This record gives sequence, C-alpha cells and structure tokens, in this order.
Amino acid sequence: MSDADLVRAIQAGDETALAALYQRHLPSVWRFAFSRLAGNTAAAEDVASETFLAAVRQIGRLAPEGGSVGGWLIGIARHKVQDLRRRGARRSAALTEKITAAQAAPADDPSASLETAELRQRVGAIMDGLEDDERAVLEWKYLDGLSVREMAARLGRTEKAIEAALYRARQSFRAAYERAQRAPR
Amino acid sequence: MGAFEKPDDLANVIQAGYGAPPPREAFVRGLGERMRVELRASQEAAAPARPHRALSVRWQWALAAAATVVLAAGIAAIALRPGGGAPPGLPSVGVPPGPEPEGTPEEKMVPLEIKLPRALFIGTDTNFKPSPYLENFDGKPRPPFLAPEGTVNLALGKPVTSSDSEPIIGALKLLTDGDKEGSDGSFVEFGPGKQWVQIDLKGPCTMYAIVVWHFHGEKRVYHDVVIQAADDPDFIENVRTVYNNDYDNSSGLGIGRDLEYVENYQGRLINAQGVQGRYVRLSSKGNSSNDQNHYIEVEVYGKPLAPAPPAPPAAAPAAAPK
Repeated sequence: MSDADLVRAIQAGDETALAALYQRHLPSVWRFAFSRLAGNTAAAEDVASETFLAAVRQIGRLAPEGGSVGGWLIGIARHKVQDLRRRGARRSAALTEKITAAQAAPADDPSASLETAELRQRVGAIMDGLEDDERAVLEWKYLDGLSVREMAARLGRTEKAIEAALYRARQSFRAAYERAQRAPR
Repeated sequence: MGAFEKPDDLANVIQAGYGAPPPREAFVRGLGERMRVELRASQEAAAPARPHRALSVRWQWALAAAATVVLAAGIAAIALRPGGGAPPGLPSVGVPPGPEPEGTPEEKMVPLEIKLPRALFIGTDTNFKPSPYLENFDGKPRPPFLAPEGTVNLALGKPVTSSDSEPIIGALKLLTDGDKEGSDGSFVEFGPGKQWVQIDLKGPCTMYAIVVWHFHGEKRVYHDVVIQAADDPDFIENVRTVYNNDYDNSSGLGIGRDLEYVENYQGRLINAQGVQGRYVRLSSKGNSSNDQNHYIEVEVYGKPLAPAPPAPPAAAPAAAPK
C-alpha cells in the first residue's frame, strides 16, 4: 500500500493502516529527532511522540495526494524540535544545557567522539537540507535497506522514478557534503 | 578529489552520520497505543454530536436495527426472485446480534447531574513531561454524560473497606459522604505503594458511570488507577475491569489501555457501560507528588438490579383419572 492509500484508510478510521504508517515512518522521524537533538534519547522520544500525536490529530485535513507524507511528518518534527528548545529556554536552562552537552558529546552513543559528533552534525544538517523525497530514499536505501521496488510501492511511483530520485539524492548529498568540507570551521 | 571515491563511501558516511540506535520497544509500543486512542477520539469528534459513549450505544442500536431491516429486505428480495436464494457468502437468515445495550433502547437518556466542588487551581499549564501514557490536560468542563433516567449515586453513604486498615489521615467513610472538596478534612490518605478501596453497594446493581476524586488540590497524576466491579467482596466472582491505566502492569492487574490523567475538581468520570456487580474496587499506586494514595470521594451512578419476580405458584397437578 502506498502512503496515500494508508492516509485515506486512516481518515476512514482504519487503525491497522495507522499502525502501518507509524511503523513505516517512525525510523525516519526518530532519526531526524535523534540527529537534531544530538543523541539525546529522552528529548528525541518527546519529539517523536508529539510529532505522531499531532499527525494523528491533523491527518483528517491532509490531502493524500498532496505531497510526501514523510516530508509532512518531518515538517511537524522540525516544529516540535523548535518548540522543545523554546520550552527548555523559557522554563529552565536544564533542557537546553542537556541538549548542548549532548551536541558536544552524544550521551547515549558510547562510540561518541568529537569527530563523530562533528560528522553527525554535518550529515544531519545535509539530510535536513535535502528535498523530502531525496532524504527519504537515501534513508530507505542506506539505513533501512529497502529495495527500489519497496520504495516505489511506498511512494506510489514507478521503479524508474525511484532510481532517478536516488541518483539525484546522491548527487545532492555529495555536493552538499563537499561544500561543507570546504567551508571554514 | 571527491569525498566519495568508493561506492560504499556514501553509505558509510550516511550510516555513521545519520544512523541512530533504535528507540526503546516500550516507547514504540506505548506511542502506537496512544496514537490509536487519538485516532478513535478524533473519529468520535468528527462524527455527529454524541455527548458520550452511552449515547453512542443508542445510535449503534438504531443503526443495527436499520441494518437488520435493510439486510432482511435484501435477502427477501433475492430469495423471492425466480430461482432465487441467498448468494454464496450471505447468510440465508438472521444478522449478527448488535452490541450489548447500556440501557435498553426504550429508556430515556438524561444528562447525569454531578455536583462539583470548588476548583482549587486555575490554568492548564503543567510541569508534566509529555508522555504517550498521559492524557493532555485542558481543564475544560467535560461534556454531559447521558445515562438512563432514574440513575442515582448508589455509593452515597455505603460502607467502604480498604487494603490499608488504618489510613494515615482521615476515615474511610469520607469516600462516600458526598463531600468532594479538596481541602483538609475531606480526604483520606493511605500508605505508600499499591492500595485499594472498596465500596459495597449492598446489592447487585447496573453501573453506568463511576466518578472518582483523588486529591485535587494541585495538579497531580495518580498512577496505576484500576477500577473493577465484582459480585463478591474478595473479587473472585465475575470480576470486570472498567478502567485501567497501569500501562506496564506494575500493579499486577493486567496491562491497561486507559491513559493517566491530571486530577482536578471535576474528578474522573469513567463510563461503566452498564457493568453489573455489587462491589466496586479502586486501586492506585502513589502519585506524581509522593508515594501515598488519596481519595476524596467516589460516586457510582447506576440502578439497583430489580429483584427477580417471584416464581408463579406451581399449577396443581391434574387429578389422575381413576
């Protein structure tokens, strides 16, 4: 079932479709939150929770064919990360400190080092800057191990279209990565 | 020279720079459950105005009756045509039974009148960390709850027992004395950890709603709130759970699918959905402020079950022919 099919089913109250959409997109939202919050697992859980709950509340207004569901979810998650930072800054400095500290050395990643933290920060920024579909296909290909056929089914496109999207995504990622490497630190 | 000379370089960079350990299984499960609850709530909100689930059952009965008529007419039309008969996959007679009613369809449904105490705090801002197990606190008045006409608070003045025979503060009778104020002198405090209180309704009853006020003088959340009804005081016979928000089964009464909630002056209204029983038991296991358990009032709205009509006198045996 494509994402658009799942959205239509959820709008009709289908809980199985909701579970399928959740299972499909949780890894992506989770990685986004984990990356933007520099490996702070507790904060990433907050963001992922708030993102999916907001999505369920808003899904009735989503046009199934209107765009990428994954991109829509990441858009919500982006706002939730900002909210979390604002709340942290307003209520107490504790959360901000926690995130800042985690940015320096990710607390939940035992293999963390300064170099790894820098790489995470750079790759996270690049992934965040890609088009929704480009980011999605790179994640699905290199982190989730999906085949081109599976990606095509998810997005409701042909395999050729996915191959073309993968090609563009690799090019975009390479170009952005090289730009970041050349940039003064 | 480019950054990605070998085919695997790009994959390695993405995995090292964007990979993440998987989220906790309990978190994933809990969030999935919370989403399911949200979806149901949004579906109900989008449906025609239905103040509470008690009313929805009336709708379900009406719809079931209408479906029965339509299906029966359809089957009759098929059966009556030349060479007719039910097509494969369709039942030839009857339809599945509808849901159990909370009140009979003939009963008039009226809003429950629940007298509320004074609110002891204002605002909706809480310091609780968002959690998939905690309901959002909006502090708004709850919608009216419809119950069959003639429903009363069966718990008022009824005897109370508890797992903690000597409460730290207060007396057990405070739970059913009608006083719901959150001030000193109105609540009972039980010891730390899991504790329960039990109300004897003094006869089998049909329950439509249970309203519980834990301590509501501040925004706090009581944990592992479980409410059950049973036919016997030891909770062995015909035990039915009407509310359970113990999401990790730490109280040992089963994993609950209900959400934790922030206490306030309105208390928590639980739709008992017409459950029948004589005893009601409410458990909890500490709260967000301390390990103790507090109760101010418990109301059980329902009707006593009518005693079975006396059996008609047995007919005199006919005289045997001689």
